[in-house]
Amino acid sequence: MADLTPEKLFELTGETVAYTPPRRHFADLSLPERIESDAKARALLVSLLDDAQRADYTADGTFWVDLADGSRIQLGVLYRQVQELPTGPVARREMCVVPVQDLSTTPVADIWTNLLLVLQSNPEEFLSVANVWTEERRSAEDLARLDRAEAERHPERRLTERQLADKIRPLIAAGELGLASDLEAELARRLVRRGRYSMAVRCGVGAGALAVATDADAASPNAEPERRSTIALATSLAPWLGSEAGLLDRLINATHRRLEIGLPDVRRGEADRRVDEFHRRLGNIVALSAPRSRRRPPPG
Amino acid sequence: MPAIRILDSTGDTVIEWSTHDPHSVERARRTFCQLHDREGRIAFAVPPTGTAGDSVQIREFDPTSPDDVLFVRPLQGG
Repeated sequence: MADLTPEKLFELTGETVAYTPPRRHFADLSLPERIESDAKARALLVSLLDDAQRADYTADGTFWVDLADGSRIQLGVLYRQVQELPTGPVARREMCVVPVQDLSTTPVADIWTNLLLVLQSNPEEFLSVANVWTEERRSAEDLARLDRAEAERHPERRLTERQLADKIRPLIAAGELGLASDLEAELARRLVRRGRYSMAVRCGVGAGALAVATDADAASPNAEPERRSTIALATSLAPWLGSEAGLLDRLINATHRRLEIGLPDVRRGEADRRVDEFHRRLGNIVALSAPRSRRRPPPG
Repeated sequence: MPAIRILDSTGDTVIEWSTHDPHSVERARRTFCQLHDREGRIAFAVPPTGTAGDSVQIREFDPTSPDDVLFVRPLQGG
């Protein structure tokens, strides 16, 4: 019995309960208790919001979450989330997504924290379970006008994959790293759509790495080593990803965040912190992918 | 000090751990196993000063990480 540690006991029985939920639901608490719980839940939610989201939430209790595909979803109204899509035949959707729980269990702000985290990390999962109530479609004229405007805004989208690839290297050589990064990101998106994930990883992270290099002059003296190590990391990552589109999307989202660093008012410390964060996220993705290596081990 | 935060009727229950305190690490690890492996909740690592955009879904407990671990529930259509 002397060897029966709590850890072994847990492994043997699986019965040890480390967390017991409070006995009473939020709705059953007294008013002062509800006020206290609600304040805690709101504080947690607000700590997870960015500045714009926080301002919106403080003003009217709702906030928008921007997705990588250019659409955005509004959270803050129970049973009614709104998605606005900037392109395509559907302009707006109203839907309902809730956590799998009795909604009276927690303060309502916890519901937004729950939806926010899942939506931000896995929008496909969020949208796949959503119960869509209404869809507002664009007229043919609006659709044509949007397509024209989109084509003017993103001339690279008219290029073929080969043309994109051919343009990137000369742009890098000419020091046009920002534009090269845009083209590489576009190439990565195309490759994702065609299911060429390993190549897309290289391009997606390459785009992010170029963005790091673009920031370098103003932001970080270590940009070139950062760029090299990021590309090396991405290359080592590719075989692990297989066809995990969700992981890849997250990776490409991370590269998009790299592009944000280029803002002129960003401070060097903040840029360095984000570079570290970017690498940490990549490390986490490697860790997430690792168990799958039994099916598909990386070469070497 | 990093912590596991579980959304519940109190707002959230916080279970902190420190690598200097093996008991706190063991409790956090068991909590993680209970909620993730047995109850099917979803775990996110959130950096101390990060927003939801910086969070990453995790499947294993890493006591050496400085990030908080926030447990939420799976979603369904309403």
